[in-house]
Amino acid sequence: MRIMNTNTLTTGITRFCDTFIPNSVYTQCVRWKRKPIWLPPVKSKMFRIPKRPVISTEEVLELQRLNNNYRTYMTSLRSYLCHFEMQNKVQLDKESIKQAEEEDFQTCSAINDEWNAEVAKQREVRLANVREKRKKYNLRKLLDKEKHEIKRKKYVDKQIKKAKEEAVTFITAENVDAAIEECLANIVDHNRALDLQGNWHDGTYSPVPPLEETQKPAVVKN
Amino acid sequence: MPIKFIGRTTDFKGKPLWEILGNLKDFGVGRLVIRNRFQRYPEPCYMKILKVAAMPPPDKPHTDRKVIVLVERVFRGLKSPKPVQMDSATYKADYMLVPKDQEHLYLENNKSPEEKILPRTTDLPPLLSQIIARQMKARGDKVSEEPKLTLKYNFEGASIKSYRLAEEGESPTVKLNFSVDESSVFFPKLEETTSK
Repeated sequence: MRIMNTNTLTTGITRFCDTFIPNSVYTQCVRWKRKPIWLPPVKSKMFRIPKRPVISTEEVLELQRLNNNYRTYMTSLRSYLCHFEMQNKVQLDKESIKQAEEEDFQTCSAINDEWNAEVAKQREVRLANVREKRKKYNLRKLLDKEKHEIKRKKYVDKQIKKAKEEAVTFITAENVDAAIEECLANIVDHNRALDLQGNWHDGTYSPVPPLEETQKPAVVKN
Repeated sequence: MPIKFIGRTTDFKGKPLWEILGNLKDFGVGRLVIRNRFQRYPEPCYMKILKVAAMPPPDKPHTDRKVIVLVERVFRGLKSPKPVQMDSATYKADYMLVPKDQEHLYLENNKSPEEKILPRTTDLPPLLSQIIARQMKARGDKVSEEPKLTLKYNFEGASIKSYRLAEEGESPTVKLNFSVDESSVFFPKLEETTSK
């Protein structure tokens, strides 16, 4: 397929191959039909002289009048709109700005005070609730503590009673010699085992008798 | 065989100043010369040669030579207060020598451009005028008459072309029509529209 109304010159400018265009039937290059600007005039057009446009005097005058009027009017309108805009702009005056700021601050602070009062009311209610709750909690805690104390006392009493009962069997300074004697008299041999049939097996090694040498005073050794 | 010119046409008519003055006695001091382009004005436009000096020949071939000329210039009936030096425009092939017996045509022509007084204000565009009137009313201003647009003119050539802004209360001599009017060439004429 080929583009219509083209030759190698124009396709060279458009920079694509004229045989490789998908739907070249619908492609017509309008802009680049002309020769590139750097090429000299074509030989056939070498001696062609472009005709000067002839405009009648009345038309020239009319066109000039319309142009002048249009330009004058547009300039005037532009300046008018600029002036209008400048007038409508808020005048920047220091005093007025300061006053406006103060007024703004007053209104803002009034709104803020309102909010503060509202929040204070809410806070009072909330704090009262909290105080009440804490009171109750403390009371409950005290009661619980009392109960716990009573319980503990009972337990302690019980323990003491038990300890007093057991105190009879304690080894004291008076019966320590008797206890030692008794201990020495029946030595317990733990070196034995029990089998499944309930028979005792005594150990091969007899219990080591207390070493008398160790109990010798250090002076004898010297 | 008559000479047939080929090429682009020009509005110039005449010779460069070098060619005219070189052929004259005393290089044409005291003679009148006119620029052909300026002859479209009804007011007299001419130059009286006071002093002539040559310029070096141009670097490029086939270009017209320039001269330095001191002239007393009258443009549109206004004589310049000081003599004017002409140099860069002298190569233009647009100068013509005035024969001595025709000099009085220029010297005795006392026409001067009539003074035009331009209007100060005109109507605003209709919609904008309505908007502005409404805004003024909304602002609380009293709208006694239609708001007007102050015209801004280009006064660059006002002294030569002789036009000025109308004073306060003065009636302008020129009536400017800024709306699309029937006088326009491009506006269909009433007769034509009715005839069709």
